[in-house]
Amino acid sequence: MKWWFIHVALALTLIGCGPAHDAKQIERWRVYGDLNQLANTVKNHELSDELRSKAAVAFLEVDPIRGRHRGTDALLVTLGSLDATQRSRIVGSVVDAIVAKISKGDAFAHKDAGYLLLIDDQATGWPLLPAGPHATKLRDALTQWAVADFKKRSEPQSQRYGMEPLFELLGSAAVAQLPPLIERGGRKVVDIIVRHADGPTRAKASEAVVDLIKRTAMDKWRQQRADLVRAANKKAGFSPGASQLNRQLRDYQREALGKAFGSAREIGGAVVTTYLLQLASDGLQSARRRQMALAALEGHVAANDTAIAKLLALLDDRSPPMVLDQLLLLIKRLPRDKVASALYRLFDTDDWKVRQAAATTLLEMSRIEHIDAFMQELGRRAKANFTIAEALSYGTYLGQMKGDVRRALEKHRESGSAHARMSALAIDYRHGTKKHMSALKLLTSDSQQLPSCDDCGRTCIERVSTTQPSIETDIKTIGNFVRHCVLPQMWRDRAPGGHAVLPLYRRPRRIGERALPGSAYEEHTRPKKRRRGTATPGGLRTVSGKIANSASVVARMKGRFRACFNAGLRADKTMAGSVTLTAKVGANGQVLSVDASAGASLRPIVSCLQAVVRSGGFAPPEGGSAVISIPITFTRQQ
Amino acid sequence: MSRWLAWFVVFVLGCGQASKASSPLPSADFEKERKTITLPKADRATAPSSLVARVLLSSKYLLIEGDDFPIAVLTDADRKALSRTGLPARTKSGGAQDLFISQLFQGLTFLKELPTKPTSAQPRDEPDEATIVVLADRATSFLALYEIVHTAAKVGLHSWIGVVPDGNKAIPIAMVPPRAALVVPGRSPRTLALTVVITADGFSLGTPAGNIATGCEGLGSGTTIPKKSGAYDLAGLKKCLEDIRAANSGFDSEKRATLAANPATELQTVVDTMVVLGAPKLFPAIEWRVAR
Repeated sequence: MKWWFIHVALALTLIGCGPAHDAKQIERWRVYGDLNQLANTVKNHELSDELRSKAAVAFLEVDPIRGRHRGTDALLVTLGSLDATQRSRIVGSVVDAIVAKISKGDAFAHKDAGYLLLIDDQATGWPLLPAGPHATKLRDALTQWAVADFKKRSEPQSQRYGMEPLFELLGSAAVAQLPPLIERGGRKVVDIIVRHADGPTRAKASEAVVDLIKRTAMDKWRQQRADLVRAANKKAGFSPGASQLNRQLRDYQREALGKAFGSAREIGGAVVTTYLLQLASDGLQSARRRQMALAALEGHVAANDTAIAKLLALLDDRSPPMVLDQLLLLIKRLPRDKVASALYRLFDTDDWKVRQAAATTLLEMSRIEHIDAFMQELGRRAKANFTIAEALSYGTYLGQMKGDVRRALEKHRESGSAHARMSALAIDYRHGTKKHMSALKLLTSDSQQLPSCDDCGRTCIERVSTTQPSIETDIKTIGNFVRHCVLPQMWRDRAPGGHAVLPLYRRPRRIGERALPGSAYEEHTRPKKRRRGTATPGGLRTVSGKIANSASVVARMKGRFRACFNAGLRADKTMAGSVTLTAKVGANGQVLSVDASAGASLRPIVSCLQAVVRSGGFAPPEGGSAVISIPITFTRQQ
Repeated sequence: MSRWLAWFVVFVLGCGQASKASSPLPSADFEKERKTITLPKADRATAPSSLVARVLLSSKYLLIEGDDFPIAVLTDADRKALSRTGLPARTKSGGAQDLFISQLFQGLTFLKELPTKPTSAQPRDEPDEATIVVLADRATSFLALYEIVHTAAKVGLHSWIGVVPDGNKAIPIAMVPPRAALVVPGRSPRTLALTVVITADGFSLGTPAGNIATGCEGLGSGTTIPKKSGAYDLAGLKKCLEDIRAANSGFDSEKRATLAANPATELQTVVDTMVVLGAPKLFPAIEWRVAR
């Protein structure tokens, strides 16, 4: 073979084997997904800009390969390999193609391509599309795409980028269009506003969320959704009655309101704060709604003295517990010096649970130097219904303070009001050790009387061992408190070998019927349920007349019958047997009389059982009256 | 005639060469790239029964086997950021802090829907689960691996971490959606729910009842198994786990444990811990968490 022949052949190879670049060929490469040929076309400076642009746009139309829109990546790499001048001659067509596509539908792949053209990634030298008319056009189109159907378009995992990075890229001008979408877009819209909105947009969002709460709270809101709920019920094969449907709608409304209040908490702003304060102070609103309003104020009042003043004005011992609890949670996060005097004022209340909640809130905010003022206010103001449980809870919080709290409490243990002294002594109940016992022993003979209280549960119970009966002592003096409550507890906790031969302290009886939710003391004060017996209503017998719902009404009474029995068992462990209750029911379903036939051991609980039946709830009997007989068997659990 | 034939051969070969030389897009050879990485070593190695794909994280690429077009081409800056923010933000759906790698999700979803063939004829204890094997350098940061495993879990795939000598031998990780959504207060069954956290000081073990104290004796504060001479005490961890198993025989059927580590923890440390934790009699189903 001659050399000239090889040279000619090579020359022909380089000239002749290149592809014929035309629109048809580009379309063919697009269909076959030949990304390299498309890239070569875009990069070929000798071809017309029109053809190169066509090839660039063709990248976006290549079908996914092995599940991925690689045309998008290939386009970006190819554009990235061009210098700025060459790129500017092509990129306009790409932008036009993207804008045309995303203005007509979801077009997630095109949206992703648009996003990638705009992002500024220093690692790769992007953005490929610098600021200018093309970039503005693309930004506007992306914004319209996002707000046109935010909820639907924020969800699919088939897209590369979610709404959050998209709006971060598009900036505050795009975010300004989001406030009207808060209701439909939900949490995602709120998150984007919180992170990326400027002042005016936040103010608009604040107004929008208040409007949303108002609309959601209306009765009309439920009416508007009745058809929706009916349709959902029908789809689920559920046929609720009118009251069930109403309950469903109320639950739905409560859930929607919860979300709206959550959005309000995230967005904040003056409008939200003012509205929530107004709502929280409106006694005509339900307690739950007022509680939600207060919860949504979290983080929005600390720097606002007017708001703080309005909050403190809500501190009222007549407020529903859930409102008061939420209010105290909010106040706990405020500066102590701004709220302390308002909390002290609550110490005047006769309701020990309210006082305890206010005082423990204050103690959580306090340091050792605040102890004297706290004790003085407690001694001066706490006049009525001071329980042992209350004092012990203060001991818990005092013990958690940093520093030598015991020394700071010394003078309050020795003298002062009985309430303050009990609280100061309670730190030893919680945190005392054996070495502190000698100092306390001197106080066992202290005769300072505790102010009288009818239902404060001032009883300490010591159990010497598991085989001996407990010793119950009514606490009437400071000395009693130290001797029968504090010292036994300190001895039990710290002694080696457990409690076998040692006195035990058990929580006082009857410490309130309910502890404030969320308080550290809740568990301690919650009455323990003990089901030691069972109550089994036997065959219900109708002596005369007929009551449509008698069986279901009696079945619902079972738990209360059992409660009566358990109460009886606490007094008499041997109690058991059967009772037959005969109830006469009047024309409107009211229980006119209840007679009981019971064995001797069950007589103590007969009045309780009769009260249960009297609370009845029977339907009006047919014929105007009826007599039913309810046999119940009570058995002890082993 | 022979001249024309020779000319034609040269023309065809020339076109082929010219076409290859003109390839302008990044392409990666899975096997070639795999040889550039030093896979983490482990004594225990098994093979997944139903392999959907192998995923490679090398110093240059994030790549699915069979794809020549990588999911991510990593620059120097990307590599430096791996231990802080994981894979580059441009690969993730929600930005730098997100864990979801959208293109990996797309690729794995496609492959999962293809019929798979068993890769091991050996009898196996594990159920036949759709699985990927992730191959990565032993010094790779935990966070980058976690993002891959997290994305695979979104596809419904279990992940295995590749070990030497070939990527089909691997350690399984049960990456499942968070369980918090399923917890109904007062109704959830009691679980041991052991969590092992790899910290800078050693291993910290915890259960819902509280942290396990230093020395693996009861509940309390401190690092449960502190480092010994600057190295993680794997023998101490093994003994502690065995003690926990022995002391909690009521939870024998519970095979799952959670392994948490800081984003920058090296994969080799994670693998070593998994080998101990994932012993058949201990907790063979390991779930990952990133401790941030």
